Amino acid sequence: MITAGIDLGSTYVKAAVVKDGVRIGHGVAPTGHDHDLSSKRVLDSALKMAGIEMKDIVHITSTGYGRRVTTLAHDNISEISANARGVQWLGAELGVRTIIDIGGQDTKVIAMDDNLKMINFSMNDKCAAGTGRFLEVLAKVLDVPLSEMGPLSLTSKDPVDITTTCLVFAKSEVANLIFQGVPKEDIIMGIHKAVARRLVAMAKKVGVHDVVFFDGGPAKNTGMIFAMERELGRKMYVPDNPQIVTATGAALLAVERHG
Amino acid sequence: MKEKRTSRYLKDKDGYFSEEQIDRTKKRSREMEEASRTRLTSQKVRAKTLTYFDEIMKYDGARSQELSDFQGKGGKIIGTMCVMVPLELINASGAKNVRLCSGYYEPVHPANELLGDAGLCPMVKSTLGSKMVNANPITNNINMVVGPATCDGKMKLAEILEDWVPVVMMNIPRVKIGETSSDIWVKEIEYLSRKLEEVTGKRISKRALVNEIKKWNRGHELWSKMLDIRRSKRPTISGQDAMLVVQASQMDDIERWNKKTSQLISELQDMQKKGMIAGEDGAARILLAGSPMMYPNFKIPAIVEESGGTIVHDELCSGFRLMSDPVMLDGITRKGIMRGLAERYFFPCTCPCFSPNDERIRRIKESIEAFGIEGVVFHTLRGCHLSNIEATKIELELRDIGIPMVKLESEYDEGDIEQVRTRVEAFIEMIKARRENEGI
Repeated sequence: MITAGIDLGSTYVKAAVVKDGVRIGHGVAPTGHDHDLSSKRVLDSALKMAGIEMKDIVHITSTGYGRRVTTLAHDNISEISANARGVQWLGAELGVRTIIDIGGQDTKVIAMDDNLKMINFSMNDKCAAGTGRFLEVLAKVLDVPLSEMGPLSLTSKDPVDITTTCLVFAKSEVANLIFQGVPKEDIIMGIHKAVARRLVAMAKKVGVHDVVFFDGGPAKNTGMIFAMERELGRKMYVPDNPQIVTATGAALLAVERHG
Repeated sequence: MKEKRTSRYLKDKDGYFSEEQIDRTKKRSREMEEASRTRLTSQKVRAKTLTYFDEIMKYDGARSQELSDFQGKGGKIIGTMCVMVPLELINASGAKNVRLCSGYYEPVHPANELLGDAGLCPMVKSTLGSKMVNANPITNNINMVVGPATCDGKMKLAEILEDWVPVVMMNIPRVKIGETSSDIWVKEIEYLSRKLEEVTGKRISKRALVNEIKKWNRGHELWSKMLDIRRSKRPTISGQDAMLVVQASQMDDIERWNKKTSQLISELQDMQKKGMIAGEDGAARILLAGSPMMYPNFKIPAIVEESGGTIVHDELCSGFRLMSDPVMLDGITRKGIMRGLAERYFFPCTCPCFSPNDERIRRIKESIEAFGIEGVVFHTLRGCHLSNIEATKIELELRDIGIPMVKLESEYDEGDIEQVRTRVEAFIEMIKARRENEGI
């Protein structure tokens, strides 16, 4: 059986195609104004990668903020359940009990039991503090490509203290630091540390046990991983494609839902 | 109370708000109430008697006309700002009560002109804003306000409202175990009694008071029957509707409310016999807790019940607590009656303004057991510091007994609906997945 999951996030659309428990294709693209169009494009590229056609897919489940907007999907599920399902699929042998997911406008922490069933979760309140958007906007202020943020920050010798995770205030704080001539890498590591501090506090409230799984777009950022691990005081497991775990989870849930 | 009052918070009240601001506040309030009512009336299974309660709570409905006629004939209307105000006393003085706490979003904006930077909860701001622009016909023409000084927001709100209307502030002893607390509260109630006599010009007789207590106790008795229906495996009333009904008791004449509620209960029981159910079959059984949600601010309960949950119980001062616990008369001396009233309105109250407040978690746990609760939705209004603080303690206590809790913060606007929905949906999916796990 071939199914697909579409994760319509606030900044990126992700798609995954699953055949008999194996992911055979995926795609990622920025979320446009037309949700149907962008999800179709991303799904098409996932299909291409899998070498199959639309008619081969028996069930599509959508997730993420735009999950109810797209007409492509048969049904939808919250991104929290989809993310947990994706991690479940990646393997019980990893020993994951906590998932930390940074999305475009949300951060989530999910706690799981020994059977990898979700037992608790927490999400940030509605502001953009500590989300992917926070990193994205500050990267723009610093005029550094998002993909360079990680490597550059790892060269920092003396990270600054960013005292706020409020995006509006952080923007002016960063602008001030630039004027003062503080090296970019020190500012960026400061930003990563500020996000890490906020996320780890949230994770601790939900409960941090055994292996911590880190996913979402910002999990591709090596500087972010470094800061998170320091703040947590433990190593995390970061999958090869951290951005498509939730879409994969939705594709797997589509199998169950198709019956 | 007849001396000319000078304004302290807003010096030039006349013409302060433009026609545009006033009209907008009224228009949007009306639209919001209509939308909330439509959401309620479009529930698939809904008792017909509920239409009566819709009308009581309607913006500019028949009740506001009724109250204004009553006042036209010299009757007095007393606005209450808290679940701790003894309504029996107000009714025994011949006055009518209306609850002022506002669930309308738009009046927050005029209040923001005074309080925008104060970080106060939106319910406090909306209540003030409603008065500032006279946005709500049902609460416009009050003769006096009774405001127990519970949280900081409510306390200062009462003070500010004095710029517009006479206010009786009541001193709530917030340390509940102190030996003095019960005595202070009895004295405060006696003080309220004198203030009511002043404004109505009528002495509150012992007989009238006992009579009113009987009426309100009957309301409590009916509400217990309502809880039985909600406790059952197949409740025939949604949590939103139950909240609407109980909030209507704060606006309606209690005798008529009793009559209609009794009628409603018969209808709900008949519906049960026919095998009907409100909400989804197999819905997650949810307890709603936290900050108050006044109609038409039913955003959170509506999302819960649209996402596969049924609110079978709550612990809110805008819900269950309005009608819980009857007055136990300690003899029929005036002193005994006052003490009975004081105790009813003080000890069972589990407002987070009290410390210690272990009674709250005890009651929540009891409800979880009795109502077969599978998860707790804990709502805090932005700026409701006391609820926010207690949420941590409650979540940990619930974790110990294996009951999940989701905490939701909300504002008085529609901007957070989708974010709240994501959290609620995930929460309910989790509860249902747990059932499969446990083989239920």
